[in-house]
Amino acid sequence: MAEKALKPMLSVVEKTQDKIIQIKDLQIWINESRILNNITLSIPKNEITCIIGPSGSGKSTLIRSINRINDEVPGISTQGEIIFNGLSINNKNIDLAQLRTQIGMVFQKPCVFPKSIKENVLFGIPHLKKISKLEKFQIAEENLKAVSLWKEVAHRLHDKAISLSLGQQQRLCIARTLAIKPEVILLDEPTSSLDPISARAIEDMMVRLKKKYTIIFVTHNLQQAKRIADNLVFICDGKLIEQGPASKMLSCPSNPETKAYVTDEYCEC
Amino acid sequence: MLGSTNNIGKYYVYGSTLISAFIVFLIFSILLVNSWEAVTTIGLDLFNLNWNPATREFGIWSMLFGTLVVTFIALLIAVPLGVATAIFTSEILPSTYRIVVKSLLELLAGIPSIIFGLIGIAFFSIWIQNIFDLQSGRTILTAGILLSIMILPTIITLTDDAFNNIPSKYRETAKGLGLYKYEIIKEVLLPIAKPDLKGAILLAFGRALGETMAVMLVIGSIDKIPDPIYNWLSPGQTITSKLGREIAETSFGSVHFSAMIFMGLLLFIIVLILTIISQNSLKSNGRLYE
Ligand SMILES: Nc1ncnc2c1ncn2[C@@H]1O[C@H](COP(=O)(O)OP(=O)(O)O)[C@@H](O)[C@H]1O
Ligand SMILES: [Mg+2]
Repeated sequence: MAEKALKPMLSVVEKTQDKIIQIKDLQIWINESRILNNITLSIPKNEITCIIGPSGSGKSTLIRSINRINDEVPGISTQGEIIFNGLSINNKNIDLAQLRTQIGMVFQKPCVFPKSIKENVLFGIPHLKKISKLEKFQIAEENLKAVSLWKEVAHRLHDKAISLSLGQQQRLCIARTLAIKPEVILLDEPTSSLDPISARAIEDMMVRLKKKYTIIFVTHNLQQAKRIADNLVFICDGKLIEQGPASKMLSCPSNPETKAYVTDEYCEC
Repeated sequence: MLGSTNNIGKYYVYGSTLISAFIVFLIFSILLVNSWEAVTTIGLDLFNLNWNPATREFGIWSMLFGTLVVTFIALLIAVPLGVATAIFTSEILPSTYRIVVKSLLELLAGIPSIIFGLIGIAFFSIWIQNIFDLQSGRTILTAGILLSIMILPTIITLTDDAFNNIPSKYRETAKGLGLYKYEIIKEVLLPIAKPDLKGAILLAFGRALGETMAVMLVIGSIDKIPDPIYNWLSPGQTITSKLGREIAETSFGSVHFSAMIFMGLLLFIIVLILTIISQNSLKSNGRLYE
């Protein structure tokens, strides 16, 4: 009896908890120019949130402030708050390296280290020396399988990672990020330097991965966003124009600018 | 028109390469020809311990030993210090300060070696003498330390360049994977910069081997291997300091002269080998960055 009474309350709690990241009034200046303007949005857990918008609109700046990798840009100043799992990440004293193991990032251009494929997968794992050889192999296998690269590279794990094709390299980069077991994965236009087939492979992978991870995916490719997004965030000229479930924003956007963008890929802001 | 100017450029490049190669070859042959006398009359005894022209003993072993030990000491001090400083200037210091530090270093590299020698003889060897309570501060260690200061700018500048040439995407990717700054330096940057570092060290090695003036003034110039062999607080002699001191006393064509030239030949060959190795390691780094 008591259990039944608790249930509705629990679901209310879950409702607020399933927003893994909340951004409140985020403003970013670089030198004297305002790059982001009062951004307020929330990211639901275990879903794909695509950030769309024309190039130069501030998508990278936004996503890069979520793991605070923008901190060292000269002349940057940030206002507002980003809350991750109920904790503000804008605190001066937080351990950034720790934060970045929870919020992993994949960049636009694949960047493998001049090491072997296996060493690349294991690269971000802390205290690697204490892990046994067998365990390392298992970690490599698990994460390479997760990005569907295992079959292609299983026989050549000790080859240089640079010998892979760009599409394979980018999947390796994703595997490397998965290996540090983040909760959130930030991807900044991860397919824009790849061929269409590799890009589709990564899109399919995202849909599979969202069961385990929360995915924030920046793209300027609207078709791509339509294929994978659960939620859309539309940014134009540093302003957040609209956010919401992808189906709603694509079929009946409430904002005329969003409508122009999702139908014509044209933006007047 | 364009073709002919192109050709002029080509011949110019070929020409100057040929001339440089020819000069190297010429020097090598002159050294070889002039040391032939010593090689044939003294033979393997050239590698003996005693050097005494009066008794026609020309063992170069103590000079060779001195050269190697002084260079070793210089590298032992300058490499860790130089690499650490370069990591600081390139990875930690803001770029505006970095330019200041680099121009200061270039200034340091431009100081004539005789100035180092004079400072070494006037102050530095006195300090060594007082610190270690020696009869004379002109020792192998003194020469090694002085030399380390002289090659430091080379190591710092080249290492700093090596770090700066590493594309920032590697730093950013490593940061995005949750590595701390020291981990990024240790796990990412140092391995990538390693071929360049090797080149820098070999270049500094070559400079240390060839340095004459400053070493000659502070090493004490005694043709002896210290006893025990690791007692570097005793005076010694390097090939260069020996040549600098004694070549004027020999008569051209004598065995004495020829033995001196033989030491020169040896030094030349060592430096040549180092240069070739360092050229190769400098060349090979390009492949790392696509
Ligand atoms: N380091 C920087 N210094 C000055 N302006 C910058 C810097 N980085 C980005 N910007 C500016 O910020 C704006 C947004 O850039 P960005 O976030 O990269 O856009 P997007 O990823 O949507 O293409 C652009 O107008 C860009 O010129
Ligand atoms: Mg961008």
